[in-house]
Amino acid sequence: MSTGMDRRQFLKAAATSALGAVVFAGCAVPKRELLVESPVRMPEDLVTGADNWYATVCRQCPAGCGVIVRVMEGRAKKIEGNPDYPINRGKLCARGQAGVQALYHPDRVTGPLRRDRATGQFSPISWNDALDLLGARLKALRGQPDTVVLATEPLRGSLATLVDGFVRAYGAASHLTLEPLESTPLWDSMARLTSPILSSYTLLSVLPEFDIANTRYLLSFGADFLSTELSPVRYSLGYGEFRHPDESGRGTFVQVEPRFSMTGANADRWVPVRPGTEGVLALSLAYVMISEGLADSEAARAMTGGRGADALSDFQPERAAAVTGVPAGTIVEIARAFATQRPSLAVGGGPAAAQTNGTFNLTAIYALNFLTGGVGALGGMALNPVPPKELPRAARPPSPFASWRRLAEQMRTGQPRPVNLIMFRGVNPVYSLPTSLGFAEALARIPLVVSFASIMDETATLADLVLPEHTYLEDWGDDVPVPGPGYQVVGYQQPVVLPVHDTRGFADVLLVLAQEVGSDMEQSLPWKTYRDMVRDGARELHSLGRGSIVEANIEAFWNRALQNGGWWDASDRYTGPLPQPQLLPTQAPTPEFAGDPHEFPLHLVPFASHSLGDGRGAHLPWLQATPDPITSVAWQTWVEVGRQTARQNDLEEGTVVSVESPQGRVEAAVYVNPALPPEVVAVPLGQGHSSYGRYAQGRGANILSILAPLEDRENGALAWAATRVRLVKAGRRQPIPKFEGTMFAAQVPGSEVIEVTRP
Amino acid sequence: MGLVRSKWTLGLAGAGLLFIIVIVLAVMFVPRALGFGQAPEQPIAFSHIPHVSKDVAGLECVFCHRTVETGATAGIPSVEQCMFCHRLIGRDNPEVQKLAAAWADERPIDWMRVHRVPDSVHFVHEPHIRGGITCATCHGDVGNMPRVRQAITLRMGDCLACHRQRGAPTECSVCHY
Repeated sequence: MSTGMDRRQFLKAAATSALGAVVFAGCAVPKRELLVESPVRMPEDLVTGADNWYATVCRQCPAGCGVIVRVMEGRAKKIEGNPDYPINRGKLCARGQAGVQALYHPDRVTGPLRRDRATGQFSPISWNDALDLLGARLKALRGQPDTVVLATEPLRGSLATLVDGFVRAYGAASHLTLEPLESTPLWDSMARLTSPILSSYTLLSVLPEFDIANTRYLLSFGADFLSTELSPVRYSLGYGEFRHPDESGRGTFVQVEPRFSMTGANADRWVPVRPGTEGVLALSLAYVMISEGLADSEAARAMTGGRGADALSDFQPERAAAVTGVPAGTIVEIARAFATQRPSLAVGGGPAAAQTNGTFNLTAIYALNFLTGGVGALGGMALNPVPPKELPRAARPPSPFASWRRLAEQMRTGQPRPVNLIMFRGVNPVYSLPTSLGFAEALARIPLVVSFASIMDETATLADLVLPEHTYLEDWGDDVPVPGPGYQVVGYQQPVVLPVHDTRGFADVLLVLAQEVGSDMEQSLPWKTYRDMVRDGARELHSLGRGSIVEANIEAFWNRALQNGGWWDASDRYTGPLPQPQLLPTQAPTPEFAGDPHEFPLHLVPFASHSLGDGRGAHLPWLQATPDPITSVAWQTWVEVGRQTARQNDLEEGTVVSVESPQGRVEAAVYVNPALPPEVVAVPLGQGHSSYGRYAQGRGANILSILAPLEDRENGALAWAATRVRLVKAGRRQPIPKFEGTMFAAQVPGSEVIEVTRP
Repeated sequence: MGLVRSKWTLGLAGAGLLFIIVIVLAVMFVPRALGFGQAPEQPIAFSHIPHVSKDVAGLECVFCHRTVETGATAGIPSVEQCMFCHRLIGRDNPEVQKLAAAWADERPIDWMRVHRVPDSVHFVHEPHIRGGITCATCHGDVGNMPRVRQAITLRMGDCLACHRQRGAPTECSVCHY
């Protein structure tokens, strides 16, 4: 009867009426988004050709993992970890994966170049002309060999033997190695702790194996071992086993460091410490362990000269707390857990080593392992065996920063003798040395500068002659990884593709140069090609007749070595005498910092980028696009400041600041990280290239450039975390390119955000 | 006063009513927006019945949807694969002739997607098949549909109910990542 609608009718009408259509048409998905196109041909039939996997050695960082490369129709397509290789057992990091981009980089130097110093222009030159030119110069300088300098990254394997032989046969040319974040303090502290056992063979040719997998309590001082320290893939593997809840339980992990690293983010407990005081903290732990009778009594006696805890009375927890900023209660807790939850392992690195007292810090840290009987034990610091002479040469410590400072001085002044020729291979000192050294300017005084760069880096742009070398995927080689896995490993590197451009292997160029210089040099380097030399090394290895490959003849041995990517002998463990604990220092050298604390109130803690490393990965777009694991920033440099510092200086995310040290300034945008202690500002390495290909150039800032040239007092290593800085607002903003959301880090009960504040 | 109040009351009641209407309509239409009950018209009037029926071809689902056991998507068969059989079978059928024409022109076929989840969801077929879930659990009895229709709502509640029942993970990040 009623003409009105009841509710049901109304809804029905609305649902089907024009109103409903209008309101909900917007909710429907447009038809084009529903289209799903069938391929015309069978997708599996579109793949033509067969793939081959070749084993070789990764050279993207010094860890030396084994890789297998998928090659289709002569093109390298994909790199994976070599499942058989003892170092990485099939795993591989982002940097290793990105190797194909180094091979097919659009900005590779496609052939030898010569620079006209007047115009600064590079023009192509043939290999013959280039080698004649360099050979003639080497020949002419033969009478004064000490004016010739060869600078490389730290070398090992047959290449190290070849370079040593070349330098020696030439006369007394100097060979310098450069590692921007040097491991010199680590080598030195190891030599000190393990002397005289290890110094007796080849100047400590192997670092110990840190047996993370089998330890139950892991205490790390600044070592970002899951990300960049020494052999991160190997340590990550061990870490996985360490965390796996098997019958011995899930291991406990404590990270002590001034900046919240990715490794720190994985720890059960993260302890912020004042930069440079890690050694004091370690000795304080030793004090607690000894005074409470938790340490091995024999080691405690030897390390304190029989005086017991009294010898370390300067390091009582209350005193150490005042120095380190770590509460005394925390020190006692960690010391007790470290001593009782065995096997335990203490490791150190990163900023702890990069101080003027870096070697002291590391020595004190690693000495803790003696107090818990961890040296040479399962789950502790296992020693690597003595390499037999049949193995390719093992690694040596890098040349300390002091020798580079002296070289720069020598280049600039020509005293005590001029530098007439300098050659760079695998290093980029113009980028990685502090600008205050004046290396780039000094380079202009050298008559002939040669670079073997495969991508035009900052040093190559100042070279007179660029002789582009093969990438590692196009070249031969062998490797003795450091640190080894507790037994002998030799990796074999083979070309997986034909050279993409008109490049040559560095080692092969040296052999040609030896021929050009003189018949005596040719005799001491009797190989036609580098491949022959590597193969000769394999012949020696074959003569051992043991390990993973035992074959009747060298031909079969060589084939299998290349097929497997290397040779190893897991049964060959260290069996010699164990190093004896040494006397602990009773006083700590105070770390020295560049910059007046009032004028430059903040500690600069640079850190190696997870993907770009110390900058050598910056030319690869995959690595540029890999977000930092803590901040999620990609493609840029950022300045990490704590929330308290940010508040006090009126900084927020995206505020561009100038980071000023006594030596210079760089600009970058702020990223506020609540976990950063207020006295610290952290900046990643890797960006700020003025050259190095289209993906690296003109992006971010190079924090290495403003470092003060402070050195470790004991060995002249660069104290790269000992510069003080101030932040000055640049008056503009620049959004941070990051993956995380824009929500600020709020404190939520149950999952608190780590925030470090100081009174 | 009373008048003013009643105006306010009326206004509030009206707004409330409108709000309820919107909610009700939304609840009615959201499954539709997700495709529930829809059977879009396809460029070729393809029917699963003769393909799946035991009396005719009797094909397994994976015979055509080849990547369902290995990948995120089940995979739409290529034109070439259809032609393996239809080169000979059903050549008189006008719909098969459309297929043959596409093949002759090397032209893909623009099928209309029937089953889908919102963009915020990452659904991967492979672990579900590995876990023994049958295709029909989510897709209904496709083998008896002359034109494929979405028979299950595929709302989050449906996913969660099944995940809970089978002890599969229910953390947000399992699907929303």
